[in-house]
Amino acid sequence: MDERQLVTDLIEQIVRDARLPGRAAREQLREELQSHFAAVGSSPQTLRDAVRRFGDPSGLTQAFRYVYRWNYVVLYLLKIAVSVIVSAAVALVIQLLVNLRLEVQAEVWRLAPGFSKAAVISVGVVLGLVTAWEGVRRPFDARRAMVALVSYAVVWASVALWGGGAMGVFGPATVLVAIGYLCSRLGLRPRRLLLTFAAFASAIYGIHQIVNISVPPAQALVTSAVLLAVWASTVVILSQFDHAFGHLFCVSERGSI
Amino acid sequence: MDFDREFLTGTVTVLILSLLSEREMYGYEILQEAERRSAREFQLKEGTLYPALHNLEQSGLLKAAWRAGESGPRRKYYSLTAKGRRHAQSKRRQFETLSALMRTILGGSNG
Repeated sequence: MDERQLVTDLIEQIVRDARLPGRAAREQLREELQSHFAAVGSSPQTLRDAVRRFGDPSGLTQAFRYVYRWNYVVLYLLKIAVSVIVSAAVALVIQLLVNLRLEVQAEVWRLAPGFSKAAVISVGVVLGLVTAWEGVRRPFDARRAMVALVSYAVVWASVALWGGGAMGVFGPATVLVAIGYLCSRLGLRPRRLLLTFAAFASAIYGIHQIVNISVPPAQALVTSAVLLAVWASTVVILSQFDHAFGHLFCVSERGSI
Repeated sequence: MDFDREFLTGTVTVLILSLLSEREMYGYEILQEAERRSAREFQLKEGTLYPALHNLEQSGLLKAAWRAGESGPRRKYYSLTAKGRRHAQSKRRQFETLSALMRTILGGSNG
């Protein structure tokens, strides 16, 4: 291989995998390494020796990752926090729109009686979906999955300690997320959405039967459609934040739901 | 000469800070200077130097400035910050004391 190409490949590999925060920082590292090789010399043998002296590129990129680890960790956590807030806000707006009722006689807008419970379960689904999204991210990392699960448990434990009113939603929300995740593994998108819709409706109907609350099948279908909208909007938001984060650190890790 | 990693850990920081306390330098210049002073007995590896420079810069001990090279692309020159200068003096004192102690101890075991 041409020695200059060898140098270019080495520099690009280091810059790509070093997880430096931002394009400007990566560009500066690229320029710094280019100036290093320019100072070394231009004969093929000199360049070959210089590349050899760099040693294993993966060791070097690991060292850079260690240097910039806190930038990565802090922005990763920030990405999760912001995506939870935005997803929950969108979920609440969806529930607000669905539950808004016009009382014709009084000429006022009111929220349906079931709004607060529907809002809490939507936020529960968002939290569960974010947990699943981060937990099963590819390439799979058992430690990250464990941190995601423990964080999910801690959030719900905090909810239980605070008041417990919303704690009854933990089970149904977790079941719905598990169902949604399993459905996301199957088939193509249109079929997957239909399958998720039917599975959500069945689960909502079934859960209400278990706790002896009568829910008409039509209401279970409507609730399922609303939760599917919450699910889909959350997936879109998480994808967008993943994309932005990947762009910032030049990483290709993606959620896979 | 190749050195065990455990000997080098920590000494690279002292070396970089000491060299930069004399004047600002770019990465390749630091490597060359370390080799020249050790009569080519000590070869600081690029894979060690560049992450160490970035680490010291992140820690606020070094600052960097881009300047045009004599030929070719711009070079990133590193120099000590005020904090880095204090750190360099402290590290150097510690290193010299430790070296002297080691020489005393190892010399004693030979006798």
